[in-house]
Amino acid sequence: MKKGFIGPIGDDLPSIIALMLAMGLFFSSVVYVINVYNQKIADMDMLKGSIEIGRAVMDKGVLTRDDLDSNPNADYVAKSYNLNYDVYLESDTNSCSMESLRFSYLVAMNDAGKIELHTMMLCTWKG
Amino acid sequence: MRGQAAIMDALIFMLVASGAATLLLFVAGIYSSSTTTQINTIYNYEYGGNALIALHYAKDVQGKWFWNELEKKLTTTNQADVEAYLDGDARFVWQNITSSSPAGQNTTLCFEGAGLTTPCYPFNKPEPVSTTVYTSSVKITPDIDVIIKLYY
Repeated sequence: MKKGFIGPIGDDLPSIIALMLAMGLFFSSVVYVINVYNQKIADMDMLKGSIEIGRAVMDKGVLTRDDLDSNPNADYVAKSYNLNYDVYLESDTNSCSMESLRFSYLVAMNDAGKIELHTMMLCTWKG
Repeated sequence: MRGQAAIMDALIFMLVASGAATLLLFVAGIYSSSTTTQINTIYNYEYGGNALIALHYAKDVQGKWFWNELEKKLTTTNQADVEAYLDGDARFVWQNITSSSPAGQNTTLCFEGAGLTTPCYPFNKPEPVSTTVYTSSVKITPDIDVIIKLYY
């Protein structure tokens, strides 16, 4: 055997290591970027859906307690974006969960014929 | 010499792959940021528009319509009257605006065309220094526009 000869791929071994490293780096960044892309798309959809839910809730101008408890239009929008949502007045004791998006609106509430201004909170989270 | 050439080729390939990976990471970093900004912009405009609609239904502590009273004060073009009204009978209206506003205390209510020396309430507060301002307006008389401004 020739001195220093370590097999048929011996000469190529250093370049193979560099090639493997390069491919590892590239493909791991591709996988990472795909994950980031999917996450960003999901976040954007959530944000867009939340605003559309807010628009559906605020559609009537003056809201009642019933509108906060149940709103078919907002339910439909939430379902189409695969989101859950909750609306409540800031003066109530509710609060959004930590992982939800929060949006505030100034609303006119009709409470038994008396119209008052309130801060309405809209919380959305993934369904 | 053949081995050295192969190593050089591999290193060049590694350089190209690193460049491509860096480009991917850079694009992933900036991707959707402008869209997210646009969606936030839409939310701020919707907040402003809805707040002005809600103010149409607001009453002061005397039970008088906020818009009507404000219009009366503004047409007198007396800043002290407007300030006294917003600090007094309509104080909770302003409190509701700032507590609900996504910009918080960096929210102002401006009265364009009313001839006030300082057009934006709170009158004693300097206009926030900001690069981004979202505005929504409504005309309460043919001459006077009420503008809600959110500073970021």
